[in-house]
Amino acid sequence: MKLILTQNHEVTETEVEIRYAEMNAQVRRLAERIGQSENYLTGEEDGRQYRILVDDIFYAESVDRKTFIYTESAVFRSELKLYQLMDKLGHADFVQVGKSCILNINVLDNITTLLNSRMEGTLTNGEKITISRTYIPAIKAAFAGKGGRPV
Amino acid sequence: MRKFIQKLLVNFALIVLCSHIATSIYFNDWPHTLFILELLLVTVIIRLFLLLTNRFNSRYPALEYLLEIGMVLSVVLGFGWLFEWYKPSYLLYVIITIVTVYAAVYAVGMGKTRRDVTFINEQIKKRKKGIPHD
Repeated sequence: MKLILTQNHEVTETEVEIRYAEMNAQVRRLAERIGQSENYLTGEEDGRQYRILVDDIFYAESVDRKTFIYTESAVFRSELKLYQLMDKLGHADFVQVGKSCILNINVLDNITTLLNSRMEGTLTNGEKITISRTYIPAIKAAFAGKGGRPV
Repeated sequence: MRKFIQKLLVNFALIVLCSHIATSIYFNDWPHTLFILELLLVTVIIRLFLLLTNRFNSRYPALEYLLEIGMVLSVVLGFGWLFEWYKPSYLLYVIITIVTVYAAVYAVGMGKTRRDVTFINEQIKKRKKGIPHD
């Protein structure tokens, strides 16, 4: 499969064209992934509902049975449970990294080992989150494009 | 490789257990089999306690270590005393052995974690550069 990226300053909206000889699972998967990149979730902040682009979500966590969605600089409350979020986001490079946390691996900048057999992930916005060793196989699988483990 | 070793050890443990039970039934001689079953019981109890202690998160790693090693020591010394595995005069040696085994297991675990972290960091770098993943 060839990947051709063309920069054109006159284009106002990014276009993706897939040329294929035969519709197969790979093409379908590719189309699904591109389609999903425009997926939105809803979240609440200060009593107002917002649409959040899935790709803008850094991570989501459950605290005291409440679910929060974190973007680069904002936090939204979600009505969904963490496992429901994972169902919606599992195909979009999200992976479970802790008992109550799912992470977008695209915003992971690096991981370091902590003394207490845990790991700390630094995100592209500088925020740090704890990663449990239990979920390392799921993270490795997600990088290999096999999806994360459901909550 | 890891799965292979895991399967190997599980098979080995089952063979040892089954062969001892069969021999004990045949010769009506139980001490060795009982000792193996005692070890199995202690292992199961330690694993169950580890599930509990793993839920304990502290800002201070030393506290987590102390809780874990304290739990392992209590279970092994408690059940060891109950099953008469050691004499009170050897208590110090038993403690040293337990701590040594714990440290060895911890070191192996840390080595594995470091390898995993290196692998993931390489994948992150590749992803940033647009290189296909492994």
